[in-house]
Amino acid sequence: MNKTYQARFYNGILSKAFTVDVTFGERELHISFVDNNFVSQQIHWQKGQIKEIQYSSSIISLKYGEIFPFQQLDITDQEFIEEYKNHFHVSAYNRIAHTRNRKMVFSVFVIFISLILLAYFFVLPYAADLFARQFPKEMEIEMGEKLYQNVLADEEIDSAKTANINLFFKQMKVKGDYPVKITVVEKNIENAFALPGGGIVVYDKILEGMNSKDELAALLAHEYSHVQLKHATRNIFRSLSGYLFVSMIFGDISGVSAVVIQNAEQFRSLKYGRELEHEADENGLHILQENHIDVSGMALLFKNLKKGDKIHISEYFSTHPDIDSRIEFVKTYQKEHSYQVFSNDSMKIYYERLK
Amino acid sequence: MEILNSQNSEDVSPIQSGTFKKLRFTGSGSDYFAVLIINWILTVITFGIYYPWARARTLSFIFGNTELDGSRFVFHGTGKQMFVGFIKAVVVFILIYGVYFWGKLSNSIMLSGIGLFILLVGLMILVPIAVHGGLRYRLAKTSWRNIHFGYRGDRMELLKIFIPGIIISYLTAGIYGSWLKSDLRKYIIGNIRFGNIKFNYNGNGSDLFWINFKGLILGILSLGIYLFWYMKNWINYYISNVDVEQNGNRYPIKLNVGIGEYFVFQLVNFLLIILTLGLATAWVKVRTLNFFFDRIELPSEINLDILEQTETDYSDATGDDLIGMMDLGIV
Repeated sequence: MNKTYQARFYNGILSKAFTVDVTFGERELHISFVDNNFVSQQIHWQKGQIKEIQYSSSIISLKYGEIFPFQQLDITDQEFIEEYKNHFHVSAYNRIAHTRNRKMVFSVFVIFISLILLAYFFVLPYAADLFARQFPKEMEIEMGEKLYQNVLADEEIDSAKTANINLFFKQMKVKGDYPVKITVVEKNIENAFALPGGGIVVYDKILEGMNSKDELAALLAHEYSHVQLKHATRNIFRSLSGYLFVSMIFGDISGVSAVVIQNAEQFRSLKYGRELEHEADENGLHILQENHIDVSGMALLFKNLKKGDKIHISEYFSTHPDIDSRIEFVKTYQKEHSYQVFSNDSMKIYYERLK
Repeated sequence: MEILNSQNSEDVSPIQSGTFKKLRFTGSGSDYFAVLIINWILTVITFGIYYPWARARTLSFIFGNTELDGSRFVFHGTGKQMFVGFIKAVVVFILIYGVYFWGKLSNSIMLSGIGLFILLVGLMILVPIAVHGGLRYRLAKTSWRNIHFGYRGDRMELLKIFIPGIIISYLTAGIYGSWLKSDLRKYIIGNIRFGNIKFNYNGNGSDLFWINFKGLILGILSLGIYLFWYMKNWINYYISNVDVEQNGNRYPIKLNVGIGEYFVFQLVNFLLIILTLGLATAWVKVRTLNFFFDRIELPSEINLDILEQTETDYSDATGDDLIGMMDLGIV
């Protein structure tokens, strides 16, 4: 004889509750009660037509029938809830979500978060970089051209200096497959930057501060490295993929977390930016060495930039690596690589014209 | 089923009468957190496809843990219904925005003007249609002691209130908005049924306008501090103006939130969210439900044992999904 459990029954016609006895059968649930006339009544629910409408550690609600309104049974008996699992299929969702034991949920949560972090910090950057490197050169050049026009739309271009700096770069005899186009812009900013596809913008303030042609060669070698190593494109792919990933994972969370995550993403992209700068420094030094130009120009360039920098920003908040460590890096490189420096008079001439 | 008619049944409710006028939330923050976490994980790994099921399960958890007179509410909506509704809602949005972008891309001022017009008119019409459909679905799928809620409003009627109202609100720089909200509430609440129980909204536009007006002026003068009073007044007014009608008798629902407790409640919520970077959202939601359930007084005169099933089933979740997508709050 199977055990009997007390439950509450609602007939779907009135809200009145009936106390009933429930027993598990082979293919059905038996519901029995004694009516007001002391007559025993029996109802049988076939298993196939029973639907779970509520499942938790404290209550199970079942409904029965094909046509609305249905019959409903509420059972709060702990033993029934335990026994129910042996007779009915309980979905994995209900088994995990609606138990008092939170260990399962907690472990799933921790594993999932670890997988996300793993994907975010290792898989995603690798994949983004892979895609960026596959990005066709022609499209990069075309994209760069559009950006170039946009950037220079409202700028004062020094056409004489622009002509000379391009001739200077030609004299550096850098081997590469991007069409390099350098533009000198009149502006009180000590900076230069590279666009995807070969465009380089140099502000004339940085030229004023220079004391030798080697510094200019170092600057152009550094900027050209950005172009050759597809830094702009890689950076775009990296931040786009990061943004997509974050919004996909955390699309539905509250404002505070969104702000925290966005800022974390910012920090990460700053760090990536510094890595790219370092890569450009290193590659720039290779270019200088290959073309027999003195690499100490790069150290001098950094020293000049340091002088112009009035506020010191901690590396973590900066787009560029710390300038002292950059100078140190050039010195180490110089010690480790010895080569013959050729003097190049044409470069000197074009450099003089820029001053 | 005839054998189980009320005439020959015995009342076996273990809950003593007299306490049935309170709502109670039986779930804990960690229960809710578990539900949200699992939903979140499933939504992420299915690239969002699970979202409708997550919505259904969240509602099912919230309703299933809301207790009135010892019995819990049940949400009968399913992820499948919400998924179908979601697809329909997406198609509606693609159509409306498609016309707009097509106009934009045509490079013709007239066509892009027509596109923009269709977009704006489309969205304006879509709001009441979504609210209508959403209410029908949400209420038809909600039951208590197997008696289902229902919404008997007419879509055209709602449009007739909403469309002119929104235009007048726009022309009066939002002033008419208080009257519009009041009219909408009156219509919507007046059409909600819970078996043979009816609801009524007795608030009016001018009262609401003064609450809003005072909120704006004093809010600015007090540099925002008055907003706590404003929110409190607004909630008290909305809830306390609803009454429950059974067999022709109307009994008011009461809510009287005090400013001190409301301030502390909001402050703690705020700190919980900030200090946990949003992880405490589940606990805040449960706190909020408990806060209001503890204070809402349902009329004890209502006889909850004689509710009759009067409403029909309705399974189209498109309106509900549209509401979710447009971020509209119901009622």
